[in-house]
Amino acid sequence: MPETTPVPDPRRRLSAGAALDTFFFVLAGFSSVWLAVLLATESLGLGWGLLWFAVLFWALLAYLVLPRLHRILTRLYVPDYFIGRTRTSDGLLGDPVNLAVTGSAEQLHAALAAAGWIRADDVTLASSWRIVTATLSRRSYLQAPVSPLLLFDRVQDFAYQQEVADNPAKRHHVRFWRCPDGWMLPGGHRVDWVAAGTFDRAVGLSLFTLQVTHRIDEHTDVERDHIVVSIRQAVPESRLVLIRDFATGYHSRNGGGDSIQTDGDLPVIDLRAVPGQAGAVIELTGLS
Amino acid sequence: MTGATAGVGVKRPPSVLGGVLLMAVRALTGAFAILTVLTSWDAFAATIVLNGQNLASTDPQAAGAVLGGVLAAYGLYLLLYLGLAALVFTGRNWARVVAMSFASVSILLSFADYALGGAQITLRTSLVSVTIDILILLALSSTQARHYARAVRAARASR
Repeated sequence: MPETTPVPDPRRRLSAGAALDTFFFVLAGFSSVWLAVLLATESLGLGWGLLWFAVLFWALLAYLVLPRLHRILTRLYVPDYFIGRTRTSDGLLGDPVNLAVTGSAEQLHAALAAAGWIRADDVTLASSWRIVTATLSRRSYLQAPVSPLLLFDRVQDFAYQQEVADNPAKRHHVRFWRCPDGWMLPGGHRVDWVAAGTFDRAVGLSLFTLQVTHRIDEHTDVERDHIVVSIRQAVPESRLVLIRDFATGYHSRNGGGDSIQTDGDLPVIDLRAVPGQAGAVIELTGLS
Repeated sequence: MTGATAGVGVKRPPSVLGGVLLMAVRALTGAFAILTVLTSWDAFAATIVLNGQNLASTDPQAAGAVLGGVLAAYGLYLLLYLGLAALVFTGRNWARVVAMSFASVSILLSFADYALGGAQITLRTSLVSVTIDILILLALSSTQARHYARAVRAARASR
């Protein structure tokens, strides 16, 4: 929070408004829990209507109650600065940031297109409906949307994907965020984009919110290396700076409750290179 | 009030639209209640009790006037509530706060009734209206709705 010149009146009004908003936000969270209890109680008196009510109850729990509770709690205990992890729209820790890029947006779009990646549609009602029907009927949907993940407090700028086996349930996909001006990775490396690439292996229920979502493959490093290799093959002049042990290697879970593991290396693809010259591979290792 | 923006270039999130629609449903159920009373006017007028006396049996005209007054007041409230929904739709933050306050008071009263008075909240009684109030509060208190109202205010201020 940048401190500016003291203008007491508007600032006090703003913080009172913020406090009121927080109050309503939390009250709505508790109310929704009560509503879930009321619906559960009501459903006990129903015979065959129980099935219909169970679906309603799940929808309420998965899409309203649990997300709101996660929002309230994660706002309290999940750090809001860069820790190499994206966050879901409910505030849970999401897919790991495992790739970075230097270069302009045009260079990045061109490189990904050359490497056979297809840009994902934005999430709209129409595209959401299409991915559901395409998945159920096992029809191909090459531009299927990806769910929003947050970094720097905002949703990804764009995402690219490669469908596998003509079915939107399985796909390679990678989300990109433009870094804020002057922002540096921990360790002082300046990059233009950071990205999170994972492999969707099936459709299932999220462990934390019970929402329908993609389950990702545990081995995120394999997906990261697939993205790097595909771009390096399509754009041979791109330079690769491999930051070894950017993060400690770890096992964890993403926002949908899927296991993830990584060795902690962070490849940085430099697309600003001179055409015609084969790009070098530079490996950065720590002291010792 | 037309189009997907409030005329200041800010995109309206689905949560605001959903909240406003629920507010409209709330107002519609109220209008339906008024219609129900209007269709069986005499039966309702006969239930008015003033100072322990049934008003309709002593003074039918006064009973009608009381019922009419109550209905008119309720109708006015519903109209104001619809106006409030329209203002929430256009991104007025104070309207959003007032709408959330209404929903909160209603929820808290129902909860007090339920927890202290042992009132039954089922489909036959007030489950639907309590559900709508809670959904309105959830929708309008969401981060999206808050950011929208703030963005509209900022856009207005900068014009």
